[in-house]
Amino acid sequence: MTDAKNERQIKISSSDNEIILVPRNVIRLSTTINTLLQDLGLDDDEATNAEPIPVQNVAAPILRKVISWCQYHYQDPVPTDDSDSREKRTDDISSWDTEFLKVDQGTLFELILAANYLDIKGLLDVTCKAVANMIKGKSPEEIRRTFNIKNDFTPEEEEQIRKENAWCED
Amino acid sequence: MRGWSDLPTEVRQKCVKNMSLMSRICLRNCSRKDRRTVDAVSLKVPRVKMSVESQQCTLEIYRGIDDFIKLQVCQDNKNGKITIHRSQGGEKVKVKILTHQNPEPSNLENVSFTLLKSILSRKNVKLNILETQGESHDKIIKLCSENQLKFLKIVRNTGQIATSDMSIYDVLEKFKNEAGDRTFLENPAESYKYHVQLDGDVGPIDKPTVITEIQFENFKDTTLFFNHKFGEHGNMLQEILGVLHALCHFYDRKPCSVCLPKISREKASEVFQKVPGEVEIIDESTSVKRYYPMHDLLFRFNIAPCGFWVEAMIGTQETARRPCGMGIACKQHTDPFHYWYYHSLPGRILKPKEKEDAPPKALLGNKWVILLSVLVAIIALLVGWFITRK
Repeated sequence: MTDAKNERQIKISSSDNEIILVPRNVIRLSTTINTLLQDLGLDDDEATNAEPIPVQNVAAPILRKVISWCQYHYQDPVPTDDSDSREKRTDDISSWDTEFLKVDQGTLFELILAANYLDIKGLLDVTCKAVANMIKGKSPEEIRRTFNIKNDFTPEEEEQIRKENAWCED
Repeated sequence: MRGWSDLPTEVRQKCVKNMSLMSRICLRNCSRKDRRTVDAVSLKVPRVKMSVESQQCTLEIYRGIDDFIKLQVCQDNKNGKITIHRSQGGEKVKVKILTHQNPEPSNLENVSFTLLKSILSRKNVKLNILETQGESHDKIIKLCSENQLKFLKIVRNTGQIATSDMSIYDVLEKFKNEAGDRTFLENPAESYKYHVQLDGDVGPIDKPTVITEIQFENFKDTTLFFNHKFGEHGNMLQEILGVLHALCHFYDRKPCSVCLPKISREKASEVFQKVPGEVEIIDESTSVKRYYPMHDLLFRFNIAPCGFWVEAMIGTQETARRPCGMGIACKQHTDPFHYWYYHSLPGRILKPKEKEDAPPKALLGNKWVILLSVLVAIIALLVGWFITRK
């Protein structure tokens, strides 16, 4: 992490216009910003960019949290594409990430959206796993309560679902 | 702050990709939007295992390592009622009696296939192998077709085809004529005497382990699992050669191979040294020896980081050497699910002990305490009545 601090800094601005400085190596985890820096030729310059890169979809509190995740993980091996085809496990979240993800549901969903917008694969994976873990072992009714989902099935459809899924009711 | 339903479809789909089979089924039943989301995410089901006994049909749906659903469809032979027991997940399985229903006259297989259809018959579900227990191939294909279940492959495990007093030659002869796609052999105490260990029938052993896998190439994709501890009854090399000879003889002299995943590197090296023939060193940890017991028969011994295996080849043409011949016994080269599947055969896959069905001991103990208490109370009342009468 000390290496990251001595590096060139990139200026980014949140949706609520807060400007945040992030080490270049850290923000490399975001494919969106990485591509933008390369495409705009900003990587040719060694200095900090004068105009901040707008991250319009992410508010400052979430952006700071995203950056703190990147700061911890920027030296991790790059996730490969073939990891997508492998079987997904949700019991392999590291203890640091588990602590990091001890947030309310709204913040967790904001983190997922930020990870998706900024294209940070590792963060998106771990947040999606956290969501998957939230519904593990829950019945449809419990999931509805957890995620505040409105049951929009007609009584006939519900009856059909009940019939077909009698085996999975607890 | 946004909630689950506010997330864009592609983000919700990414979450679904991380969900277990059971979670997906439950989420699918929450709302129409969630149903569409779940149905848009591809779901690979590498194996479905089905075993039918007289009053019970067991379905095991495997999505991956430790992600499976097991359903036991049981029929009461007195009133015909169907009870479904469900368990899921890893080692800690829970079994619950979930439904009691009086079905229309129908057999267990039909009920089970209807269940499978309700779980798996969807466009996004890719089914790989259906493993059955010796039921008629045509009947299974018909049931699959009727229930819109498209499996890539249907494998059939044989019923019992041999007994412990049969020699390996008798077993192989019978196996050749009656075998399905996979058969398990388990050796009893005596050397060269086997009985067939059925997949789904643990028999006398508690923890069956695949000690030796014998694969027959070009023979109905058959894999034979010998659970024989080579070398326990004498010369290990002689035993391996004996099995290879027997296999070549009974399988129309087709190529076959034996791998021994459970023996140590030291023991494998010891056997390897005893093999007649010159050593060919492939690299610092891989060596090959060719032994010609007859003019047109070659046994090629391989010792490599993956393990120790022997290939039998007939004729003058020697097949190209494979870097690994350990098949499903190789953690490095086999599909992780298959490796796990065959190495966790003990207990829960072959024949999980259904302790849950038995009432807890404490409860049984309590019954006796209650009975005793009632008995004491009756005696006390009788004594009291007798005294007051006096």
